[in-house]
Amino acid sequence: MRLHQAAIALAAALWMAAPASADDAPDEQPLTVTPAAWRELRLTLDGYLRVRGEVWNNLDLSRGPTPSTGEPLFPVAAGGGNEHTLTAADMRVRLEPTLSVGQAVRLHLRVDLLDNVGWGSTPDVLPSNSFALATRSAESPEGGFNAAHDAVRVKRAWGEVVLPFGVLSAGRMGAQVSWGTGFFVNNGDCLACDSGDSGDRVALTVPLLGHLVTALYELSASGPYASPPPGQGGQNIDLERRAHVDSFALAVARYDSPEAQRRRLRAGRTLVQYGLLASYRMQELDAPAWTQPGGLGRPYGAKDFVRRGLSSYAVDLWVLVHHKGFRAELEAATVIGKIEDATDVAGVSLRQRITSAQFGGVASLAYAFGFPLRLRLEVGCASGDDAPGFGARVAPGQLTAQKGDLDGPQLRPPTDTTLDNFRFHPDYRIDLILWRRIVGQVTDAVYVKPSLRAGPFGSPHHNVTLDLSLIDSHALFAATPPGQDQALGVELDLAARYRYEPAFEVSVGWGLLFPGAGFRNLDLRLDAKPAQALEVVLMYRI
Amino acid sequence: MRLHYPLMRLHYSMFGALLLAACFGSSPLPDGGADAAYGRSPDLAPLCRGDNDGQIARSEIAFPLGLRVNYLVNPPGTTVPVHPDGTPRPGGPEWDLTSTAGEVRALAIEPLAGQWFEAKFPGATYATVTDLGSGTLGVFRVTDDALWLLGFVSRDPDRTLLIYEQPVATLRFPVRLGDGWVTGSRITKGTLDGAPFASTDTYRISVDARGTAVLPFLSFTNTLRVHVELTQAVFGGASVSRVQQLLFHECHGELGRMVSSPGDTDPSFTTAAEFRRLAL
Repeated sequence: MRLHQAAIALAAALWMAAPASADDAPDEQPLTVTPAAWRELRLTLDGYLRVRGEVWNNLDLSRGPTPSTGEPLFPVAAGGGNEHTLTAADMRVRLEPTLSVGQAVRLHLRVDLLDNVGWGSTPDVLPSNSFALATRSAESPEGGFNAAHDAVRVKRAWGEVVLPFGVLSAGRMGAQVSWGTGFFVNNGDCLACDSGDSGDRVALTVPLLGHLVTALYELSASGPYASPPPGQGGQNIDLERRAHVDSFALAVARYDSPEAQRRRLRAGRTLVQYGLLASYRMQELDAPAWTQPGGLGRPYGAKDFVRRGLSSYAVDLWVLVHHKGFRAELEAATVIGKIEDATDVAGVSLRQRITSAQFGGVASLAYAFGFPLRLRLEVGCASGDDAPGFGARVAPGQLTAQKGDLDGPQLRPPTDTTLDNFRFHPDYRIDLILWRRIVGQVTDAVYVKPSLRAGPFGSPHHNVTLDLSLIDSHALFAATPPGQDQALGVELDLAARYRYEPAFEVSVGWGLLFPGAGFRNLDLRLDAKPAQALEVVLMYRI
Repeated sequence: MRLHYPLMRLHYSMFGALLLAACFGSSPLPDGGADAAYGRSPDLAPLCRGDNDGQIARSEIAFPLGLRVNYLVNPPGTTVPVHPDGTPRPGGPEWDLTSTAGEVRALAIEPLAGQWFEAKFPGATYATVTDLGSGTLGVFRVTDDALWLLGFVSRDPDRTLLIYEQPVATLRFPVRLGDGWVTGSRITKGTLDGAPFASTDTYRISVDARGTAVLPFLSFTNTLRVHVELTQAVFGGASVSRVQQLLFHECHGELGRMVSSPGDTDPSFTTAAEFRRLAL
């Protein structure tokens, strides 16, 4: 709606400005074609500083290792002993400046500083021969020297211009909106998010009949490219156009800004939001070596390419109805695709096609009473694959999975050429332990999550909210979990959040997982034992 | 006839399983087509990564001791129709190795340490079964520039021990199209199945074709065909020759081989005494 209004305003302004330029006379002072206000620069800044600490107890479930990796489900104390408690503390500064040029042009950035840098991970004795205890200061992270990444990471940079017919955006950007529930498309805006989708895109959004229609092209991966010689600026040259991973999307949505949604609800009107998203991704050729170690700086020729033949279609439908205290939301997505040759070695072709048919969905019903209490029921489902393991976080070098594994590839040509497990976006979090930490994301499962929220208690500026939720999870295939049983467990999560408006909040969460038979170690005949997690997050918002 | 028997046996042994490298596992895949066909040990990670340049460099051949690779082969004593010239294609001949007939034989790269013949072959790198019928082992040394065949032994002590006076270069690195060489060596004071044995062996080896080998589930471009004609002369002047056509691919080693019947030196032979291919 906001886009719609802006487009109309800009169109009106252009219409009124046009005659001024046609009416110039030589003896008159030339009129300013562009109103000064259109050149005004305005810089706004969003973002936050997030500091979080966690304590995990027994997230390995004390059920021993999995067969393929020989590792437990979750790391245990590296120093040995019967120690099952681990800790973590990290921080992130997120800066999202927007430079507005007049009313029509905006430049956006997302820059993360000390992005999830662990506390104490870059002491000044690293690397050196000194003892860690000799550290006097924390150093700035430098990728490849004392950390995996540098202290500053530019994650997005894009521009948008409001044209008379719509908004044209280009650059490296995330999802324009938090689409639907976020289990399929997630722009990573939430305060607890760790990733979020980004892509190099050009998008045109047109308001049409009360809807926003977006057409989008994304160059998801360029394939090998030639860089200009050192010291000489210039463009990279994509060495093989057919190696592009191209994505096209079309979305139609009735989507109001959060402010507009609140206004509508305050007025007692029914809020209906919905959207349909369809995308297509393709790749003709591929150079497997490009994504492998040493693949960036080397030359490429015809011998390095394979005929990949990727084509994949995705469709997502989302509906939200909100009337007074009642709120219902449904989102369903599917991904159908094929890969003609899934080899990762040039010169060796897999003669069988890999196919994929994945489905996922989330439905929720909620009712907020007049007093500060809300009941909510969420059901989620992600299609599975009958290969062992969840297929969420495959260990490097693990080529196949076997019974008893927590994870592993869901393919094993030639007998298994299907890849059917739908994976929820990792930033779509439903719990603290099972899916978030042990598995990594919801996949190959169905879950039911009743929850209760009390609050906010206090004033609009100082308030406390309490949450209680129970998550009961089951695998769709008994062959997937390590224990070869569909029962994954029940998790109880409690959370309390204190919010000091406008710029600070602290939350404390505690979770307790009672694992099901799906995590039993059949080889060692060990039952999985309960796990706990405690999380504290401090958020300083800009 | 008495001479012919050991010649035949020995021919089976010559130029045995030269290279055993695998990127796709050490055991046959399960039958059936369901995802549920799991439960075995995980496959091996790739042993090396090639550059698909049509040559096999030394770094693109691995000889990890203990590695086991499964081959499909026709039973000993049988013959099968073959087409070693392949089907002409724009990118070179295409060799059809898709047949799943035959029996699976596991071949391993075995260390010499602790074996009864260890001291007989100083400097040897590995041994592997070269005669599927008798289980006779070939003993090899790997250097930067060649793969050397040192001789043959039985698994049982002292039953067969054949040592070349000079090692035979069975492959020269890099293996590339157009290369060829003639080499030979003598076996003196050898023992074959408990009987004294001597021979003079001549190998005419050439890398004479590059094309695509097609297995049931995989195809390998830039496969090199190594043509080997072995002539073996024994005491008394009798000799016999035969042809082997071996298919090699970088990092995957020997994909398959076709061995003619004794006395058949036609490089386009149509009947093979042995037809071996990776059991993928």
